[in-house]
Amino acid sequence: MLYEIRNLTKTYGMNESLVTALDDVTLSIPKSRFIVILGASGSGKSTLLNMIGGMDQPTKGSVLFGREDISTCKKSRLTTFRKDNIGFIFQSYNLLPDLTALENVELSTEMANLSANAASKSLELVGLKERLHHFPAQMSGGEQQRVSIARAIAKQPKVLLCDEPTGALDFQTGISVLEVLKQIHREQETSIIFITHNKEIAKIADMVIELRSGKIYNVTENQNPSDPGEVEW
Amino acid sequence: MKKTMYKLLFRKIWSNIFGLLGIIVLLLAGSAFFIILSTISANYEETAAEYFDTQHYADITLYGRFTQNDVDGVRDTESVRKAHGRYASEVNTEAAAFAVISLTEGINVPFLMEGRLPETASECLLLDRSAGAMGISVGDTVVLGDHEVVVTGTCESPEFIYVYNNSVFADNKTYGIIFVTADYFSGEYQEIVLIAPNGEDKDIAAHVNASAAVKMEDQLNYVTYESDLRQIQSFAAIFPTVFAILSAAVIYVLFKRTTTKEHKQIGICKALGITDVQVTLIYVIQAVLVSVIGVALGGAAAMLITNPVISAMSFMFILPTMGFVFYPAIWGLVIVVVLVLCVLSSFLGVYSVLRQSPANAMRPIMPKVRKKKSKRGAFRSLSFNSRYALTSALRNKGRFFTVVLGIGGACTLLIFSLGFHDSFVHSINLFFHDFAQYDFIIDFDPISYTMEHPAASQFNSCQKALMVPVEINDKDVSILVVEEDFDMLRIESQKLSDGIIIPQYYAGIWNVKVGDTLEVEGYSVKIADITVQTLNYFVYVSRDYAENILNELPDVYNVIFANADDVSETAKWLRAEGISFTTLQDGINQAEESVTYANVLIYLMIGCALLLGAAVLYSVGLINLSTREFEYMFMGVMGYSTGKIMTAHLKETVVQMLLGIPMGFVLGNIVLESIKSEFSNDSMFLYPAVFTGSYLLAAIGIILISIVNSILTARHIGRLDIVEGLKLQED
Repeated sequence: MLYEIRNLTKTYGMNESLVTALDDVTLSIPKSRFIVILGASGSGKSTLLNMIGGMDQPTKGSVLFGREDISTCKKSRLTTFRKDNIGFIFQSYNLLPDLTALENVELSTEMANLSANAASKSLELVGLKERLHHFPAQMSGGEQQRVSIARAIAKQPKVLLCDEPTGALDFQTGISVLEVLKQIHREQETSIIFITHNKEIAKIADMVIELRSGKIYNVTENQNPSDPGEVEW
Repeated sequence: MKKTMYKLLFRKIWSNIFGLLGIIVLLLAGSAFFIILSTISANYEETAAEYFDTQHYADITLYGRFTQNDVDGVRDTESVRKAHGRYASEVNTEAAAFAVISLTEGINVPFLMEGRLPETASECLLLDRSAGAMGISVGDTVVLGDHEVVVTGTCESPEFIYVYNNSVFADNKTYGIIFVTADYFSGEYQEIVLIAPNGEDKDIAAHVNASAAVKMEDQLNYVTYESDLRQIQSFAAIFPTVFAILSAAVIYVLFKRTTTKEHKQIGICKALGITDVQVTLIYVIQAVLVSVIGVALGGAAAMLITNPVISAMSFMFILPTMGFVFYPAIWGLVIVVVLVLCVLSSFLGVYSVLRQSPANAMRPIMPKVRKKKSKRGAFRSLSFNSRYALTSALRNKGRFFTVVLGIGGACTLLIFSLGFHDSFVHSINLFFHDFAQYDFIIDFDPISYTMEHPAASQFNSCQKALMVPVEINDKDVSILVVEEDFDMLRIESQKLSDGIIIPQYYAGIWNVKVGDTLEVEGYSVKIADITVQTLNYFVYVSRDYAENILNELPDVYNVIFANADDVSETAKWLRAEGISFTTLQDGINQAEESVTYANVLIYLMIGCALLLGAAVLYSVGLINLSTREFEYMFMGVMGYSTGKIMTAHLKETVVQMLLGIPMGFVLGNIVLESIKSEFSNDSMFLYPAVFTGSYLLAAIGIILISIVNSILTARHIGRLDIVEGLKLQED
């Protein structure tokens, strides 16, 4: 198993303003799968992604990555965990505005001590060979999201965590992003955990975990996932 | 740090460049001021010690009438290494008065600036600054009464770092020091100068029945040197402290604002696996760079400015060997203090974002939840513009109070600088316009009390007094024995029947009050009153009371205080008669001249204070602007004109000035009061005062800086591109 999640609970605030984002979630996530976590806004999917990405720590419960319980790790260990294992792709791209496309990717590859051309190869893979030296502000949303994907995959992480990466994109651009992710999954056998509120996108996953009000509502295996080109929304 | 992190760092520096420049200016001014004054004080102390040593500044000077046998007797005293008899007289010419002093071999050796030492009785050496002020050159002839002497050279002297004439700074144009060979004079010596590092002045004086013995450290020249040294050290401490506090506040606010603005980017970096240390370094390195550049520029400015400042101070004192010297300890202290300050402030600014988890850091900042209070009354009655100005002023208390602190700090330094000048003027006025009631003072060798002084008939009123040197609580002071109806100085003379009257300065150092007793010449005397006397201190005692406390009060007097109907005519007469005198007007002129000497420091301080205000207002103004840009652009979209936005901005500045300026007034007075004792010495009691004009000037200075800052802000707001700005904010 890639992850074993047990009785995971996350609450925010206190007293009257207490919000339970995740409520006693127990879940097993297998390796090398394209998993979609499906849920409406406020269902707790981003919180779950943050917990399994070592970006936040739970109020209760545990998150086992392989044999390591990352819910009890120190901050410094979590930083190394993220650096070595996780690639993040966010809805709002989250590129550093002061760095060019190439530099944004290099920031990640340098941390992983990868070769100097790993970044440019990765950008080439997402079709941005001609936009290496452009700043985020000089690129479209789709291009920025592809830089974000290149940054995530360049260090060849064990897991790609995608937080609604198509949420801010138009349909065509969204499809092209899904195609890139599918290609990476296919070619590099990278585990991908993709969160979305879009049921159509769930069709391309091997496994769909549905969250409602911070709890697991349903887990389904998809024997015949669709190609990105086949879905519509 | 990896290559890309450096690129990120330098691009962030570039985007923050104006804010960082503001901090650099603050650090530059603060470190330059500290280096200049600390270098001057350290160098002054070091150079003076060396100068006194190499020029063999006399350890003790005896005053009286001495024969060669007396000199030989003193020379044979165990503790005395070297002793010479010395002639000293004062010669009045039409243009100026000269102290004519005979040269003594190996004691009080003049430092030759030009020419050579005199070799015959018809040659002389002139103090360099007197020669410059009087326009006398080497080779010129000076007529001193019956003598004509040729100036063979100019010099400076260890005993005349400061030149005094009758206890006030001498005007070099009208008062000069001339050194001649001993054969210029004849008869008895008036002084014995001696090198006796461990000698007891009283014992040696008793040996030759000297009327007075003054140790080097009690001479006015030396006392003023020590006092100036303390004053420079005080300035070197006060100004840079204010700069340091404000720099720290601005750096904290700048980095707090920057990291708050960039909290999402910090979260991204942490999500990517960049460590907290590496993220911190991006901000701390900016602070380190700013510190290094600020101190380097401050140091360069100090190297350029120190020598001109020393030259400017030559109005006050002259040490011919003094100049800029690199003191590693001073520079090291500045570098360490600035680095620690900047690194700590930037770290504190970053820390609040850094301690969050990446997920939290990437989320929008939650507004602080406050219980909603319905605002009623005066606030509701304000216009929307005013309500917006007040609300936005208090929205970020850190920035708001940093501006208040900046205005307050600059105002404090302005009040202190201007008040320092005012205090001098006030202290002089207190003495000459309030305390002193005479037109003339004439001192002379004691004559019988029953005899009239030859000049007495020239005055419409004239009062006799006897000036006697005594030691009270280990301090050499002068007792002025007067009649109980003495009214030439504003003392409560009727109280003299009850005891002595002392000046406030002595009361402070002896820690006594009215009614307490003091030991004078072995007798216990009561303090009948304490006077506010700011110059020329005396301990006042009536003749009757003095007869009780002094062993043998001689029936003589040696000073007269007098008033004349026509001061200039009387002065002419006295000059013609060869009688040495001082008029009240001379004292006023000389004292006012001495105030202009202090102006060099005052101008430097005012410049620094204005720079401080400008740098803080500009830096924090920029931070404010960067925070509000979107708000202003959005207001623009809603149809709010630049004028109305600026009105709101100005109202906020006015609120800050209304808080900062009074704060500066109060703090300025507190600082001024606290340095009172540092700036009071045996020659002047500094009575702290700030004139109304100075309050006005300080306020106007701050308002002008704010206006310039507002103009820059208005230009910036006017140039905001609404479309681009909104697009960037969406991104």
